[in-house]
Amino acid sequence: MTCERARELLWPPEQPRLAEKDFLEARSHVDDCESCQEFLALDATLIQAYRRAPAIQAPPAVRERVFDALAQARLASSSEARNIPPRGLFMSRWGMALPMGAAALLLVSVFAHSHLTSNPLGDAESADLPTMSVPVAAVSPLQGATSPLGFVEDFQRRELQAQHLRTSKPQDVVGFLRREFGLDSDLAVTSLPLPELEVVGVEVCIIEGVRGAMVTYKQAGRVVYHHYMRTSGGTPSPPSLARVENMSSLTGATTPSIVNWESEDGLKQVLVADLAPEDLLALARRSKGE
Amino acid sequence: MPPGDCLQGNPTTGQEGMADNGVRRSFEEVIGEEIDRLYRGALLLAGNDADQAERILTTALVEARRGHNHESAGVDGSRLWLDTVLARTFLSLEGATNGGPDVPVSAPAPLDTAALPGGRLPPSIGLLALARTAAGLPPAHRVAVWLSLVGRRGTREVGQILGTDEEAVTGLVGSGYRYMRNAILVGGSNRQAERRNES
Repeated sequence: MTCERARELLWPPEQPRLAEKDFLEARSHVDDCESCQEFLALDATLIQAYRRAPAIQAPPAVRERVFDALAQARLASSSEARNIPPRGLFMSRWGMALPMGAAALLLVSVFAHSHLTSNPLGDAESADLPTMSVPVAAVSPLQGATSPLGFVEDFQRRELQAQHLRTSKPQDVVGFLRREFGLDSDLAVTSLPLPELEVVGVEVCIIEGVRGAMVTYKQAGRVVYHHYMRTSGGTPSPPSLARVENMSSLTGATTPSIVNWESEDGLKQVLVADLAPEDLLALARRSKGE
Repeated sequence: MPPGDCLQGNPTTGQEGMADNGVRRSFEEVIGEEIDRLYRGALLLAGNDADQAERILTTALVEARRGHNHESAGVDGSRLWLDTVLARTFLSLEGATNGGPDVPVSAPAPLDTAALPGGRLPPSIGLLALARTAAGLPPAHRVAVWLSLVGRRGTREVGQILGTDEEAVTGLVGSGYRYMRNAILVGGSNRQAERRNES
């Protein structure tokens, strides 16, 4: 029995194993081998001391930069596949895709409320939502640099994320956004400091590889989605209504209103709700103190 | 040959992974769950240099994302794949393999592990202390200690990741452990002496 074989059979010691012939031979080897005894003793000492210490987490800023790099890599590879020059594509692509995808996601999420078990808000919250039966495939052929179908599919995958929180407490949402994204409270939940909005939850939402946050509110029984996504090098812009064409003709359903803006801190923000456009725009403006 | 191809018999996961409930997960979803563990690994490999840790982590994950033609095989397969790429990226950045991540690591370099101070390790040493101590290890030893001590990977797996044989891994891990223990004890003794001098 060699040292390598003995350690392969006996290590890690915390793992349960069968007391078969090989195991007994390995134990016998260790009894006579100072090197193996030293190794096992050192391992036990180091790992016990290490495990008593609290685990370190990746800082939010590092986390964001890593996911930004992955998003850029994903975009570059998809650009290569489509023979599109990658320069400047990130912004222009999302400039088009985000509002349309956001519209699609509301439609689909309403569909999900009615038809799917993976209800993003839970049954209680969806009880008084309007019913719009929209097949997922029906929202795919929209105009734009990218199809919002990926956006919609990714949106529905939020249920798979480990990072989501159902809460009615705004301070919980603030803590979540700070922990996951390093967002300051004044940029996050308090950007919608409106008493008529009731917090329902917050979650990580990875849309086509770009990691963002989705805070969900209710207002008089209607769902209001507030999506945050970091951009690289965009210019701040005030809240404005996004034009989403063809949605109604495709779905036969009411097109939700969408307001998007970019704040000074490089956050692309989108509000989506089944409200009148002017009401949603007013909501966004009020939230910014305008 | 992309990292991970040498792992015969170990299914690896590239761009996509499989959750335990059978739902296919995107690469970013896998990373969302693994990033803290990988960051700790990068911090240890970087010898507690946070900037270097981030560089290793980012480079490795972008590289890992490219290996997208692998069939997924559960959480363990994803972890093995990510650990492999992280380890090899670190070695490549350190120039430890002289030819990229596919060149096997050479036999363990001799380490000065003779000075064994008496005493016991502190009850809790934490990752940062471990990482600071690991900074004194050569790159291959650092990888072996990380995979073995923190990752709890056996000599065979460590050998496959490093591209070296089990005997060499035993040497790397054994001398790495001795060095870590001694350095932690010496560091503790020095800190105690400093405190005595300050008071």
